[in-house]
Amino acid sequence: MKKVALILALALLAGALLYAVARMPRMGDAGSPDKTYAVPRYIERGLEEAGNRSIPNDVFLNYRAYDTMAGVVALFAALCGAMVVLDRGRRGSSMAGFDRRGVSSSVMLRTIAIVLVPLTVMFAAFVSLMGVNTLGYSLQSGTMIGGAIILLTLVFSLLETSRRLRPGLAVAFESAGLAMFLAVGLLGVVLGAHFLTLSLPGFAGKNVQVERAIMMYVLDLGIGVSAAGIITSVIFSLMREGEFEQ
Amino acid sequence: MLWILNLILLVLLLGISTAVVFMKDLLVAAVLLSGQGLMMALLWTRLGAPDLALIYVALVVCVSTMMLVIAINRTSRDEDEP
Repeated sequence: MKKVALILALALLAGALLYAVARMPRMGDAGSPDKTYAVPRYIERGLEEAGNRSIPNDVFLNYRAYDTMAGVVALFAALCGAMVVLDRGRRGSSMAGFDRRGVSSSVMLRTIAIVLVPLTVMFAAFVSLMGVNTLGYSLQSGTMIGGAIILLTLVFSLLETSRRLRPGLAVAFESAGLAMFLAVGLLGVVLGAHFLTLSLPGFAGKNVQVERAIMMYVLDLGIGVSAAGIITSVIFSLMREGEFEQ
Repeated sequence: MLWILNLILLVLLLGISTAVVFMKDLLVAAVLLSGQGLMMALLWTRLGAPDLALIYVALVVCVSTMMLVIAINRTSRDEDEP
């Protein structure tokens, strides 16, 4: 019975997805709406309307910033779900269950980590700052910084990391991305544009290049911050998971 | 001549992916999977998508391998053991 219901649900899902794909314009079709309307507009007026030399960034952080915010909301919801499963009510008693044994990692690993982590953080800062105008985004730099924190945690113990990065800070980092999106959206409304659409009518006649660039960078940074927070939180909760059972 | 590099990367990608499927030792399989991610990232750079390559290295090679290793650490290293 359960199996039949499962197969039926999967078949329905597959049918819906295939129907949607079948209704899409054919690949390479020059008459489809995205080729006739959206893409030429992004290419011809993207710099003027959205204020960024990188067209993908124009789309992500300006024309479609609302959709990007939905993506950040989805990531936040997924993190909440993962935390319910992994981190059952341990947020409060933060130091109680942490690894106190002290991992004895080799000198080689320590040295490599000490040399590698500053370089990684520097490269992440470069990617984040250059990404506003050229290729690359803060999402990449956020994941890199999360990876650097995880590397440090592997080499030195979880106790050391948790002594330096307090759990309250992690909570702040996880929710900071969404908060930055909402703040920029509301600021845009105050300045006269639509919520998170910093390109069209509201900003049309005004000279707001610098403000708009800063707002787009804050959006970009929000994505990166939430990526770093989510990665480190999930990995730390997985590492912490076993401590209570042993 | 650069197509030889592409060919080497593709062959390595396919070989590592096949090895991952047939590997009995799960820890080796996890490490090989990160190697497969690295090949994929190099291919993305060759295809002109360095942003995608960066995110691939950070997420697939680093974070998801980390998760797999933690999961293996909590359960069992051998595929056949219960």
